[in-house]
Amino acid sequence: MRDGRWIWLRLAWRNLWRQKRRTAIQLAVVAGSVLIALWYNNLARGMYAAMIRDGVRSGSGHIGIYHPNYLSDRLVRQTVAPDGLIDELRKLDHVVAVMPRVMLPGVARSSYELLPVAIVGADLDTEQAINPILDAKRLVAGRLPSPGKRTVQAVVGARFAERLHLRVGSKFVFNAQNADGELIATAMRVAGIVRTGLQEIDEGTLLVWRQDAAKLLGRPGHAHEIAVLLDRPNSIAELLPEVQARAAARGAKAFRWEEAMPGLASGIRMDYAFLQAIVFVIFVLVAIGTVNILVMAVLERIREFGILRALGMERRQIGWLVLNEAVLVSLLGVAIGALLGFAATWYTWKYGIDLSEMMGGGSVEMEGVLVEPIMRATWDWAGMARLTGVLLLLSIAAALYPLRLVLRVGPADAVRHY
Amino acid sequence: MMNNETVPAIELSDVSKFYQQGDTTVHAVDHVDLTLQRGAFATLAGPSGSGKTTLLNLIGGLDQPDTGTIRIDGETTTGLSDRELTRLRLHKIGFIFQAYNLIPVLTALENAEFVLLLQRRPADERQARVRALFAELGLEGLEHRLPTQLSGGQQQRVAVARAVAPEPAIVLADEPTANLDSQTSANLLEMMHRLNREQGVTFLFSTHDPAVIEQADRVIRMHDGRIVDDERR
Repeated sequence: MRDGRWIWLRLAWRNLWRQKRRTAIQLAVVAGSVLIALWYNNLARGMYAAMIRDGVRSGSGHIGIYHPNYLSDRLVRQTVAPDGLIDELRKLDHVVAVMPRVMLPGVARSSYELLPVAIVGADLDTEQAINPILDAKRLVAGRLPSPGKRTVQAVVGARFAERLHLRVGSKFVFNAQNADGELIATAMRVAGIVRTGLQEIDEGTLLVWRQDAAKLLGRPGHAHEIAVLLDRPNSIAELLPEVQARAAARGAKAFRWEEAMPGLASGIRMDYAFLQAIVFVIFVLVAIGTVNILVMAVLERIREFGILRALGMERRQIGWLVLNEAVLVSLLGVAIGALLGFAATWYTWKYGIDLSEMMGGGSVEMEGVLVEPIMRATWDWAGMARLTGVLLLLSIAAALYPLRLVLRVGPADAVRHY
Repeated sequence: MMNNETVPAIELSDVSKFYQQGDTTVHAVDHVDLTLQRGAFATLAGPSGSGKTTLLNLIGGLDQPDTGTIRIDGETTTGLSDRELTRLRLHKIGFIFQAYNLIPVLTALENAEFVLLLQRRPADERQARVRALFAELGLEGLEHRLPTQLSGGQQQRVAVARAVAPEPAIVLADEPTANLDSQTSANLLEMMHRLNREQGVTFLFSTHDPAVIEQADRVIRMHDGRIVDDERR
């Protein structure tokens, strides 16, 4: 030790490796917790991102435009007359797609059964490229219908087709009340059959062209929902005032997806709360584990600390030595854990975890949203920095209790300690 | 003002230390007066429980007396704060304990220069002083060994080097030969005696080893916390 400036750090470093197994366990506790916290956080964030991505595509968009009371009342007469709004919105920066939709609840019947259903009238060509429900792999029979047929053509759910004993080309009757309160009945033909795994879709949704649905509604050109899909969720804040102003000019109102799909938003919030609870448990386990290991490490060195005190080391220098040891092992543990967390995140970001076999194939329903059964992590840099920082501080703070034990023992008692 | 050479290394005046054991008060050190001049090679002799270690702890500032005053190298230690006592130990007192004296993660050389490092002495001075002591104590070639790679006698010699390296006013040794065989004890004692004669290092031992007592030029016998005999040779 020719240079005395780093004496505390070097002493601390060497002390760490006196009990290799114990230090290895401590490193494993810290590194393991950082790995789990980072990976779990990134996986969960990735899952939320997928839920939002798929949710906004099949639902309200990042911003949804509705009649001001439609979301609370859901009355068929609460429509929006777009009047060029759709084209205006498509021209805005950050807008990827604009998907107007007509919703019309009613009943469908064949000679076998009668089922409550809801028509979703949409621009099926646009929707096919965006809406996961119309993904080609889910279209198990037939094809998307062409617009403007004399008999309304529909894409129906597989379960619906089974219960009503329908095939591609079969006819059934749809009854509903239009926007003026009049009863309507119309024959429809099955153009295609989808199987999504979502009961709401597979049994209770009929997809038709928007103009067909609007005609049945009695409000040609109108829509109940205009889903505005953006390039990324962060664009919502920037674009919302602009969209809001254009919607208000037509007596409509724009809502963020969280307001338009409160079930999805609250589901994610609840899941996030659960994630935080898990992370809190990890924090507690790390604190207990580290305190335990450090207490053992210092108690067996009481005599050594007494000798150091006798030689002329001040109390604060002993404390500094123990703190250096805690900082070193924490930094090392956190660094290893962060590297492993990065590696695990990278793997699941690139390749994902395929849960399709576990889920029996097909898609997974989460909070009413159809999600691919492949869990993919995302890079939540802020969350990673926060978790790593907290675990580092916690791991260092765990040294405070053993430190107190060491500093409480007087040198005379300490040198007598064997 | 007293000449530094004439200031006693240790002056104890009416020093007592009591411990409470249940309802009984144990007089570990009972109204002790003692003066030890610089250059002494003295021993505190007595049976176990006679108060030798307690008295050494009081002199070394590891503990504070309940009554009386202690002066080390002319400086009164009674009433000093923990920090002041630490500084006093660092600069004026060397310690040799019975066993497990050395810091396990430091090499023999690093152990020996540790106190000099705490005193912030320059590296060259530290190295020169410690290497000279290693030569004196027959530790050459063992500089880079860890304590676990040294015999008991070698460890105690490193502890002696560490204690005398900063040239303290006094070296306190609590039964330094207790864990050594007789030949190793004799060698260690001989080396310490030589340091005393040639470098003027003041030693105060506690022991009940007759061989150590035989070597001392002053034997202070204790019993039940009191000095019962003070023999100068």
